[in-house]
Amino acid sequence: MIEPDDVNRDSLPLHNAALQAELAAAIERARHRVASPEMVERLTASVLQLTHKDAHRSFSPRYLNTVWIRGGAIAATIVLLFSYGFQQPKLPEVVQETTSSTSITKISLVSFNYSKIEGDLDRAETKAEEVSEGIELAAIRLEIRESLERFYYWSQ
Amino acid sequence: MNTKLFLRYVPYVEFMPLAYAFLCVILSRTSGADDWEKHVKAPPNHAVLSDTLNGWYLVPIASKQVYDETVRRLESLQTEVESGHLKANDAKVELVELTSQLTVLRATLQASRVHIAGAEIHEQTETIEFEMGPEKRLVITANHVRVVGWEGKKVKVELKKTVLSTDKKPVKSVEDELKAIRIVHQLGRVEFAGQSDAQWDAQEAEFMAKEGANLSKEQLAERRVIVNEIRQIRAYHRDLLDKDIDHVSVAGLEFNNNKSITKSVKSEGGVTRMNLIRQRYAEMTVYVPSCTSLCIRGARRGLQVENLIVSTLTIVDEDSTDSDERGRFDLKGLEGNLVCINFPLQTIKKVKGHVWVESTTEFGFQGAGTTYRDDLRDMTPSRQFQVDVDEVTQGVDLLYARVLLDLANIQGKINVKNEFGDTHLVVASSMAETTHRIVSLTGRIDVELSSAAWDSVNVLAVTNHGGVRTNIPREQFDELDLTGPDKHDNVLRNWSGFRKVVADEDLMPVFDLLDRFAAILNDTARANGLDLITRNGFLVVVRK
Repeated sequence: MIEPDDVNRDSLPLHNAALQAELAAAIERARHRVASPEMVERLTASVLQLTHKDAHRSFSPRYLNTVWIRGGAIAATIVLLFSYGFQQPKLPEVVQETTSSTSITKISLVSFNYSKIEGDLDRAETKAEEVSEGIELAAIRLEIRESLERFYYWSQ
Repeated sequence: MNTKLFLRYVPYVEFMPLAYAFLCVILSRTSGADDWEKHVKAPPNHAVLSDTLNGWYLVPIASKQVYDETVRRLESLQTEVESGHLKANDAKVELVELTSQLTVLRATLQASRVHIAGAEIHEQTETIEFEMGPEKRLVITANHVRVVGWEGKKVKVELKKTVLSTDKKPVKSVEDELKAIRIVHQLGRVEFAGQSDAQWDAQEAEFMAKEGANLSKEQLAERRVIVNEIRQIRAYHRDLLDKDIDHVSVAGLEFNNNKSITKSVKSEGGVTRMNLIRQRYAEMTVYVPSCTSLCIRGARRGLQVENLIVSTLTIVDEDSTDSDERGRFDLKGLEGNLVCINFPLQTIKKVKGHVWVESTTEFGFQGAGTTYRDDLRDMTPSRQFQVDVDEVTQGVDLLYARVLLDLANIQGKINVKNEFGDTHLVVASSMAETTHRIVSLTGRIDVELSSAAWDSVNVLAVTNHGGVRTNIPREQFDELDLTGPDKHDNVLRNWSGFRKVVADEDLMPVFDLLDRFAAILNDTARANGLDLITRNGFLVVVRK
């Protein structure tokens, strides 16, 4: 039986490193409630761009279409602006409220994307750590091997 | 039957006691049977640290036990790191602690070790020089070889001869032993190279004319297979056929001329050790000018090749009359191509040319042995034999059965099959646009790529039953996990791993992937890329 590898993908990838970094910075600042109006605008634009891109890559048209996605993104933007303007609770809480819906709606779709963004951003925050862990593990493995070679043998 | 009657029937029995006494005298002179009684005395409570040609280094047994236990802890740390159960920082802390302990223990052992000689060493050196024949092809057959490339026009051969004696032999006897070891230089045809195609064909035609008619079709077909197999043996010597070749070898080390002697040591409360060793040894150093080909045969006691300029260097395990598991086998500096067949070459470094290795026999010895416990017998395999390949300019084709293989700074195509051993590849710069592969059955594959290397090549890392690890993000190194036919052996298998995502290119369809797996395993035509497959080993791809 052939099983395509795309099945069971558990998160949406972020394709653009610059966009990813920009989003990370924007959301981080929003979390600390120091987001400027310009920052929120850029965030909104990024969300739209990202949502559109990811919809193309990872969602089947049978379930979703870009009109819904765009609509969802706009709705989410309104929610965001509203929440920032009135000093609403932090972004993750907004996301949590909207993801509780089980049906696919404009809001839930966008929030789903947001939750994915959040997830990816969380990973992005620890990415530096992960990368260094991978390299460190490879380096330490080599060091142990070299030590073993050194301590196994005795010169004459 | 009474005795007298019996003696009448078997007259030689009367001489049997005399014959027995004579046999005992002969055996006592030729075998090591009574050498157990001739132990060299070592200090009490000592263990063997290492062997030397004529003896052993011994250390206090308690210190040796602590040292061995600490080395075992280091081995456990390696296992934990490889399984991913330990974080790098924790492993680092433990590594520092263990290496500090081992360094101190090692220094203590070095300071306290004593050398116990089990035999006396006698040495002599012989030197010859000669000009190479017009073919400029040289063959060296010896047990212990050092080859140095030089600018001199002649070939210079130095032979350091060594004879061991375990009893006080007269000086003349030792001199005779040394004189029996000598350099032999011949210019002419070399028998070991086998027969040319023309000779094989003529021989076959003669057989068919005489006896072929009596064989059935099936018998003839079967015979053809066998004859073809025989013809392929030593096919790598084909370039030496029908040519006058310079052949340097050593006489006096043949099995029947080089008798075994026993060296034995005993430490009260410690080790008792007896080794059966050869009496004669010879280390040959050959200074070689630039030439067409050099073939090194044997060399199982040691081989050092330094800064050689030769179109083709062939190293084969043939006609060695002695071996040393603790010997060093290194090639450092070659302008030309290397062909190495079933030889324990540990280092292949600085080769301006191509490297081709086929070594499918086991060379490891460390940690190997049989232990007896209650009614169990455990035959433990050795640790993996380590091979370092570094700085090769025109690619490598390596087939190993089981070695711990380190590859670095390889330009050109990388084609590696290390069936049961671990392979570690470091690529610092961009890779050649060709079909690279590292394939294993149960071995681990570790690949470290620089950013330049990653950018230069498509990477596919797949396993059937092993684990896979990477630090490269999913959007660049996507996961794959599928079940499909293995076109290598026509059965259904699971395939999981990572494949590089190339911008503006669709991911390879599943069916193409399955074709690619088979092409990688069979090393047949496929798109360029670095392909890594281990059937049941662990696979790691790290970008630095």
